[in-house]
Amino acid sequence: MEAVIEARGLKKRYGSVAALDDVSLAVRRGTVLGVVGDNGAGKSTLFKILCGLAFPTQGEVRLFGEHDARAVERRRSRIGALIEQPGFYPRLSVEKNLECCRIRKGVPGEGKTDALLEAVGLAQAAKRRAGDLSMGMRQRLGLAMALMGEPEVLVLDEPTNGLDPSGIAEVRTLLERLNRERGVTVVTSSHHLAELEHVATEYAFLRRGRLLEQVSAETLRARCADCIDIAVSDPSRYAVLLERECVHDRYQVLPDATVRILSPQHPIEAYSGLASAHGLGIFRLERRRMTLEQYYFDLKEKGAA
Amino acid sequence: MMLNYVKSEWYRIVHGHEFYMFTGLLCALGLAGNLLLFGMGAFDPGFPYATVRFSLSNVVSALSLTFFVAGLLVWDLFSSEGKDGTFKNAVAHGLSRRDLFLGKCLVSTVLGLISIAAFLIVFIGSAFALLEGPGLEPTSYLLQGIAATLPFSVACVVLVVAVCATLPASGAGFFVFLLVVYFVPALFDGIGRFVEPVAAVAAWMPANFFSSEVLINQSGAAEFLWSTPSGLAKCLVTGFAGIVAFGAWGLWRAEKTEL
Repeated sequence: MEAVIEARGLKKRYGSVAALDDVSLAVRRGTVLGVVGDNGAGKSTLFKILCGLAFPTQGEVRLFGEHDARAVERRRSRIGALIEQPGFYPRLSVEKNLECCRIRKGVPGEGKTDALLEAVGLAQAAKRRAGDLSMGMRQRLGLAMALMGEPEVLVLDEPTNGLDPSGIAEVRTLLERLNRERGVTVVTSSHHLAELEHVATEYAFLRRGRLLEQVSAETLRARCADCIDIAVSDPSRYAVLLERECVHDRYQVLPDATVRILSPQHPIEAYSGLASAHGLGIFRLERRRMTLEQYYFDLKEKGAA
Repeated sequence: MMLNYVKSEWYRIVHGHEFYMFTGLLCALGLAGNLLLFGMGAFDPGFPYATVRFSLSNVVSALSLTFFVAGLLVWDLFSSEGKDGTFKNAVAHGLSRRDLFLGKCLVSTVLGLISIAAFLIVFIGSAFALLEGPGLEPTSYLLQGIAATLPFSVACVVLVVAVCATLPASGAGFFVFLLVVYFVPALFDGIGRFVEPVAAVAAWMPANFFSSEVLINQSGAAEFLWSTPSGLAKCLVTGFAGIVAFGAWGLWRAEKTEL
């Protein structure tokens, strides 16, 4: 599938601080890429570079296959973006702000403004001064601006920031619909990892400016599948028993003497029974299913190690 | 793309109130000056300054203020773009920084011309209505003077647009404009009193020569810089040189500045 956005060896330094360190990723058409990382991981810097607001110290960005600076600049008109705080003219009304955006993007038809205000749930606030909006409503206005002109790609840095629970759900539904019905490619980030889990079809994990991993949601689901954690007195011996008596080779021995049994085939009692039958002490026994959050924390730990 | 940007800025400014406030204030100042002279003349029949010539000559002798007005207008219209995030929006939405810079210069210049035209209509009209004539000759001086300052006024527009592009979220931009247009020429002028080569440079700085090379007295005797071919050439050359220099700097900075 065609990569609509490609970052190759992106490095960005602010003085002595490396905001991005050799980040390469590709966003394929029709996917929803969730960028995951703590504050300072480099998400916003990456988004800014993709949108032309900042320049990489090294590396290049390709948009729709183009890498020439002028061509990339032109291709940005096919992208809708919401980076950090939404920008608007505070003294103009919501609808006039959106109308400005429509004219700037060269989108024909004044009816577009009303339809978008409806889509983001701002129709009731159309006449209000944008400067008087609450944080959540500002975010909706920013989203409406990003959606103006039916872009092929949406780059949204924390689009649910400041939204109430119903607003978060509405944005999620909107993104899902745009992706499903119109094939809009979405690159987004959020601190609500559970939210990302609903929409993302791919993930990119960033930590301190480095890309830890880009992985499809399908692969991630397989990795996060059902597992049993059992902490025993002799994990190496337990691992041997697991392979020999249960014929199970999908496990991990974690640094804290825990054996993680992936995709267990038997009830939890069978695994505790195996340890007891061979005189091994059991300190902890837990059946779990990893969430995106747990996966991210594990990945971070591994990255740190 | 630039045309779309110009249209959107036009829409934004027409539907906002900053431009109307600015132009209204400018016109009100002109009207107030004439009303004051008219009031003084009515109060004291011997008051010699309630004339069109005196009123208009006040503006002619302070033409370098048009640079300040031009800079202030652009600052009023565009200085909050960085803070409001609208400049960032325009770039993220696919407009080239070059188009944004040129579009802003174009919109500001047209609005500046509208603003100054409104001011001249109110100022000259109220002078004719309230004060004693003759008025045609001083009006001609004033219009010629305004025309002579136009190129450098446009350069000031370009300079403030460039400063806004360079320091998008800073309030220090207008100070940079004042520094370049007024303070540096004043400094050169001061040093030039002691160092001859510096005086030669200072004499080519518009804020200096529009202040020092325009002389009018109450009897009507006047010497205008732009009345001679060399003086007019000086006004035009410095103006266009300013447009090119500030424009080149602004374009270069606009392409480099991170948002």
